[in-house]
Amino acid sequence: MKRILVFMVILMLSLSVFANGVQEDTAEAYPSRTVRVIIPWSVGGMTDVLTRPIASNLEKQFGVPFVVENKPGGGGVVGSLEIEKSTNDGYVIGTTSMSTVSAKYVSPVYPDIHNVDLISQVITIPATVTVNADSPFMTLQDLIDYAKANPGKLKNSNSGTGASAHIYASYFEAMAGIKVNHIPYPGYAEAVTALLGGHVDMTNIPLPDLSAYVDSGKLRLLAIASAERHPAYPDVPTLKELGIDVVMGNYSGFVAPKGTDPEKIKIIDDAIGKAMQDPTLRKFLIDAGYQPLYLDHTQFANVITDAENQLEYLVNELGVEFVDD
Amino acid sequence: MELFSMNLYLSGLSHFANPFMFLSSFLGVLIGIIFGALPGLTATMTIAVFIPFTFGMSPYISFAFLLGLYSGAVYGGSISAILINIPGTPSAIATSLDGYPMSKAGRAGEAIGISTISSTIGGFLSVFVLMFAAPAIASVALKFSAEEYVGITLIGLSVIAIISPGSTIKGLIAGVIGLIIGIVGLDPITGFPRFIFGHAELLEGIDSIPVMIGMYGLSEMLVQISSAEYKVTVEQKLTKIVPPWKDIKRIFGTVIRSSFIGVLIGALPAAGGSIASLVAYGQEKRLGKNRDLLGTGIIEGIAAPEAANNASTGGALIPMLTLGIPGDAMTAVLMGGLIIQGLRPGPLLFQQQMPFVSSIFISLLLSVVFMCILGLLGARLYAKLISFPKKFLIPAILVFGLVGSYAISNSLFDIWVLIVSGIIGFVFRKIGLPIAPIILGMILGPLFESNFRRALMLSEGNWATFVQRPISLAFIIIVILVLAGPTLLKSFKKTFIHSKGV
Repeated sequence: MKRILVFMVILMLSLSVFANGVQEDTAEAYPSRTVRVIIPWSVGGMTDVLTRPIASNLEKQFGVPFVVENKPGGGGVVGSLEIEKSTNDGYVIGTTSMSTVSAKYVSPVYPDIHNVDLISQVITIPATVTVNADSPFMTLQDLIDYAKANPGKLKNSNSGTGASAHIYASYFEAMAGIKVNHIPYPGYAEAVTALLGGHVDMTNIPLPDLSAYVDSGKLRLLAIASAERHPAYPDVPTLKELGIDVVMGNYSGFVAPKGTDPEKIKIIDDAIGKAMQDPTLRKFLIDAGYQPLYLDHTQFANVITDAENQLEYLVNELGVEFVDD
Repeated sequence: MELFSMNLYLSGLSHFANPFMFLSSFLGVLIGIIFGALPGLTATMTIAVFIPFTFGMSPYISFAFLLGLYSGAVYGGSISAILINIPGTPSAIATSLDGYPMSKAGRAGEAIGISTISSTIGGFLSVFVLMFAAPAIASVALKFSAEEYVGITLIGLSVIAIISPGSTIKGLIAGVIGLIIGIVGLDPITGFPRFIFGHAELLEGIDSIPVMIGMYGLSEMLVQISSAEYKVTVEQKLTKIVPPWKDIKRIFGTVIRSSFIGVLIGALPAAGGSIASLVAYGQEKRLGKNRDLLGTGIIEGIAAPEAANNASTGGALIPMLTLGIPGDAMTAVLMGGLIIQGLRPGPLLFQQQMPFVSSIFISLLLSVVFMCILGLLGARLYAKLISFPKKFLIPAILVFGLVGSYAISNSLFDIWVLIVSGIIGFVFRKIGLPIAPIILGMILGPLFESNFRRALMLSEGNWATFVQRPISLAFIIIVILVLAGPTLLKSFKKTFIHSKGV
């Protein structure tokens, strides 16, 4: 019983972490007390891994705690809605990704990116065209030539019908003028495993989930779907260079509840910009497979508009139906 | 990959001069056992809750703690399965089949002792396999495509026919009910919503954890309430905690077989402890010396699943460390912890971070040792817990179960799932339908369906793919032998004797 008691005490103490102290907002320098950072995805997930070091860098800059809270559920819907509903006094910020934009095609209850104020983008997560190292396709042209000669024969692993990697694959398919055989897997890890095991021919899964295998020589990047080449893979061409006008992928950025004081947003935005210049942080992010790309709140707005347009095109022109990732 | 010299394996040993390594491993195992034993708090959730605390620590200390949690939680699930017939984690479902009957006979202490020893041996074996054969096993696991997963899940499903004491028909009915529940939600291949009746909560399917807690936990409570006579708690004999040598000798073969099953299934991405323990229990029913008594409360029935689920911990680390692919939900969370520490799991880890990899091996061994000590020392205490009046014990556990179900996806809907399954489970118990096949069907059904359809997509509709691939063919032969074996044997004997007679 003692053990259960000790457990209860620990549980209660840890619950107090989530308690939301009501404090008077003084007019002194912002931020003067704890800032909550809400991540709508789980601990150890993609967004979590990149947000924590940025949050601790902000802590160092401001000298106040930036407490990261994970609110997973419903593919990010639960946490994103919580960010929307939080008080806009500048002491709550959150993270966003493309799933906040695509949620409306997926879930009956969904957050809206226009219900929050953008702070900055920190990461771009480009989709890729990747094959196994043993694959006969040495260049993108090889792959496209084969696909044109054998429509529907190339097996492309994705993260579920209507999920992000399927969206990338459908968009790539449409823009390259080919037909592939879409094989849905439950998530990125399983889809990459299938490519590693040689059970499929290619995938469009984004770089962070593949980079370890590219580095160890098990997978080969044929192209990357970002606007510019990746700093860690300067030899890999972009799809754009190869004549296929496709820039697609995910991004990660910070947002604040609607109506947060623009001055405060500017302060956080600038601090994030400074953090993204930090060489240790940059190295951490690049080593973890991310492509750091800081954009301030106005440039970030363009990225989001592009994402919205791309999704509209997919839904209306290609008839893709989305699901959660 | 070439073999590493022993020096490399010991290169992490210097970090263990720091007493904090032992402390954090010990604490990890202790917390893991407690969380694992509480129904609703799964091993995955335990690791997810505690991982943020480790971000400030060095990777060595943090992984000593996390691996302790991992082993402890997987082992802890057996305690509540044995004592109150409510598996603490899905991987302990098979343990309750023989564990609870033993505890009802006043042998709870002995049962926990057997579970501890089997888990320990399973854990040790898996660490050694992880250390010396990880790259080889990882490359075998990569050969597994959808067809092979179909085979593995079929073997798991065939266990349903085996674990239904009394009536196979009732077991099959329960299994089909589980399969039907598993159909609810988005179609795994096309993404079409099935049987959601306009409820968005059902899109992601019905989670097996609240169903498990409801069907085992709540229904147990309802059975207690409804039974008129006051149940006298069975007096527990607490003399035989550390199993005598003859018991260990008796289960040794079972433990070794089950451990290897555990390591191999654990190493398969997407499979894991729950399937491993079921397959191990199934093979015990086929190959074990006392197979006919299985389900009545014999030590082999605890040894097989417990050795397997703890062996699957080391197994699940194989694809994580060598390929950077999580072997199960728990290692997926652990992987996030590695990345946060600036270490990239995957093929380069062995080459670049050997001291750290070596410290993972040593930490895992250490956590198995602590698990053994805490299990044997605590067995008396745990066994006494059942003497605690059930009118307090069961509601308290139910509260934890409710909280845990809510925490899985922060959804009240799961609480309703728990309550409804509790009532259905109560009715099933009254009419004698077994519970385990329902949970089994729920877990394995979706895995079977999605891989079956994926296999046909990969082969462009060619059904022969299941027999053209050697590993897949072997699995199908095993399934046929498991299901038709006894009948075939009988008819073979008949014809043989008959022809001899003529």
